[in-house]
Amino acid sequence: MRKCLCSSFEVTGYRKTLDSTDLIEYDPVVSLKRRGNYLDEVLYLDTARLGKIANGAQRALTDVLRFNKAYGASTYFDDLLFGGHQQLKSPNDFRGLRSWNGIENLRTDFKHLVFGKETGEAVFASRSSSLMALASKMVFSRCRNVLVTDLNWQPYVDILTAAIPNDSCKITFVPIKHLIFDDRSSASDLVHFLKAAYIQNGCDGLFLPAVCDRGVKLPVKLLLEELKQYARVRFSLMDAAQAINHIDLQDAANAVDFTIAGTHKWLRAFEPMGVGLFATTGSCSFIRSTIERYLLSDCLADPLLQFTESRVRGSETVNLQPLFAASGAISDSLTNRIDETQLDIFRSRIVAISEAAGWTLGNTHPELATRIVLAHKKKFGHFAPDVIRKFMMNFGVAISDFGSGQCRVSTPDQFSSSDETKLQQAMVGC
Amino acid sequence: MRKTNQNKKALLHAVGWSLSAASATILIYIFGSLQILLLVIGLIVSIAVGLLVFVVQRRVEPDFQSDTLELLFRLAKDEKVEQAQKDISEALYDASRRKDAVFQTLLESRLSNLTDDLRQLGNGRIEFANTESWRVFYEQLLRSPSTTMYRSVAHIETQHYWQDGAGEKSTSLNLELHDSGKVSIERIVIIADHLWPTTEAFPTTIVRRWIDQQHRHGIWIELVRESELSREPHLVADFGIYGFRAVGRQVSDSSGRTTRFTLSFEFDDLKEAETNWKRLQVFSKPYAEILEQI
Repeated sequence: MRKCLCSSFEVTGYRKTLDSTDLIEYDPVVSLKRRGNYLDEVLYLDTARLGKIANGAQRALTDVLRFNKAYGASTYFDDLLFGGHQQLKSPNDFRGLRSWNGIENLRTDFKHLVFGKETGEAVFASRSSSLMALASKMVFSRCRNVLVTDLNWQPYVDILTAAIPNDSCKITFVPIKHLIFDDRSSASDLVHFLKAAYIQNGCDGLFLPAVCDRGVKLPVKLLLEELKQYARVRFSLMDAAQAINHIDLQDAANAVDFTIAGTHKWLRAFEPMGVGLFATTGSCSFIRSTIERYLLSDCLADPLLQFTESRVRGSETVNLQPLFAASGAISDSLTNRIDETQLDIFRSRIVAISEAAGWTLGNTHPELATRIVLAHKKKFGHFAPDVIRKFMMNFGVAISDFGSGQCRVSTPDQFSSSDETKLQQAMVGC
Repeated sequence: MRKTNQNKKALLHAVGWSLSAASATILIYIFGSLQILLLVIGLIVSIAVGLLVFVVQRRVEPDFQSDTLELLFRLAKDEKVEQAQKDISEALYDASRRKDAVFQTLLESRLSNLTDDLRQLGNGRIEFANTESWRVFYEQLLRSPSTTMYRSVAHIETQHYWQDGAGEKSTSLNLELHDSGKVSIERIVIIADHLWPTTEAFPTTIVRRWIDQQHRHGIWIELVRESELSREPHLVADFGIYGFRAVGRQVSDSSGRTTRFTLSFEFDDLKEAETNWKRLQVFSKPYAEILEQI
C-alpha cells in the first residue's frame, strides 16, 4: 500500500509569509514581487547554509500542493509521481510540474548534473545523515583505517566514528586547515601531504569533502589518482553537500566510490533531501547490495530511501515534496548554466568590498577557491554566532556567521551595482 | 638451555642493580657530608639489594628429563590435565601388561603416533585429518569476542572449493559475521590457472560467483593466479589468521573436501602467516579493481 504526504505546507512554520492565496495563484514569484515582500529586497549571500529557492523548485512545490488540494493522494497522484507530468489530464493547470518526469527521470537528471553522463546510480533519502550512516557502514565494511581531515563536517565525522564496528577498525585524523589558510598550500601541495599521511598511517580508505563548509575545494580526483599508484584505496567517500551545483563535480564524483549530496544548498531546492551517487564499477554491486540489505534489515530505515528503493512498497507515510522541489531546481540548473567568468567577477567584487571595509579574508590558494568567501574581523572576536548576521540583516544582507567575527559570504548568481552598494554599506557598517 | 639463559639474565640484572646502588652511595658520600662508615654500610646494603633481585628474578625451572616427579607435581596443578594424565597412565599400565608380541608391536606404533600428536599439542597445534569437524572450532574462533579481524587465504584448485554443504555454511558464517561488524574479514584468493586462464578477465563462473557473493557483502577480496607465485611456491597455501591468536591451514582434495586442517596457536606460526599474507598482497590484485577494468 503506497502512502504519500504532499501537504507539509501547513506545518512548515518558516513558510508562514505565504498565505492561502499563494496556493491558488499560478506564479507566486510574481505574486510576492507585486506585493513588495521584504524578502525580495534582501541581498541573499547565505546559499552555503540554505539556498534561496530556485524558481523551478518554487513552481513545482506550489503546483504539487495545488494538485494535492484538488486530488489528494489518489491514484491520479500515483500516476503523476511515477509517470511524470505527461500523466496529467490537464497539464496547463499545473504548469509548475512540467519539470517533473517521474522518480527515474529525476535520478537521470542527477546523474547528468553530477557525473555528466547517464551511467551510475542515484538514490534519495529524507536526510543526508541517513545516507552518511549508510555510507559509514560501507566504508568500514571494506576499510580498517579511514583518513579524515579537519575540513570534514564534524557531524559527519561523528557518524563515521559511531560506525566503527570493532577494535580492528579506526579513523586517522589529519589536520590540513593550517596548510590551507596559513601556508596557502596549492592543490598539489595538499595532495603530496595527504598522500604521505595516508601511506605513513597505513590507511586503506578515505572520506573527504569536495568543498568544505569554509569554502575550500579539495583536489579529490588528483589525490585518488596519486594514492592508487602507491597504496590500496578500498573505499572513498565524498561529501558534496557544499559542492553540488556549485563546482564542477564530474571528475571527482566519477573517481570516488560514493558521493553524498543535498538539495537545499547550492541546488536551491529549499526542501532538504539527501542524494547518494555512485558510478565506479568496482563498487556499484557492493553499494547496491548494501542498500538492499539495509532496507531489508532495518525497520527504521530512511523513509524516502525505503519508498524510492524498496521493491516491496510498504513504507511509512513519507514526505515526497523534496522530490518535486529537486526536479524543479535541477531543471533550472540544467537549462540555465551559470557563466563561470561572471561568477569570478562577482566573487572578486565581494572580496574587494570586504577588504576595503577592513575585513580580513580567508587567504587560500586560488586553486582551492570557490564561490564561498570567508571574511573575518578581529574586533568582533568575542561575538557569539549570529550577532553579525543579525546586524547585517539590518542592512538587508544575509550571510552565515560562525561567531568570533568569522563570516561566510556566498557569491550569488546575480550581483548588481545596487547589491554592491548594499554589501558595502553592511560591511562598513559592521 | 632456556633455564641457563634466564639465570644469566637474572645475574646481569643483579649486577646492574648493585652497581647502580653503589654509585648512588658514592655520589652521596662525595657531595654530602657522610662518613666512611656510612659508605661501607651503603656498599653492603647495595650488594644485598643486588643479591635479593637475583634471587627474586631467578626462575627455577625443573629439569623434566631427570626430575619426572617434579613434572607430575606440576601437571597435578591443572585439574583437566591431571585427570587425563591419570586416565592415560591407567590405560598405559593395562596395555603394558598384555604380553602378546604382535600387540606390543602395535602398541609401540600407536604410542609413537600418540606421542607425536601430544607433542603437536604441546607446541600449540591441533590437527584434523580427513574430517570437516575442524569447522566447529573455526566457528568458535570466529565467534569469539576477542576475534575482530580474520584474514583468509583461499587456495582454489577445484571449482568445488567451499561449494559443499559444510563450505557453504562457513561462507554464510563469514558473511553473517562481516555484515554484523563483529569481525572484519578480508580474503586473498589464489586461483589455479585452469580456473582462471590468463586470457580471461575473471575466474570460471562458479568460482567467480563465490567471490562476487563476498564482494557484495563488502569483504575485501584480492585475487592472484597460482602461476604468478611460481617463484615463491611457499606462498601457495590455504590458511586463515584469526585475529592475533591462531592460524589455521587447510589442505583439500580434488573434490574440495578437507584432507588436513591444522590449527596453531603458536606465535611463530602466526608471525610466519602474517609475513606470507603481506607477501601475497604484493602479488594479488583487488577484485574491485578487476571489475573496474571491464
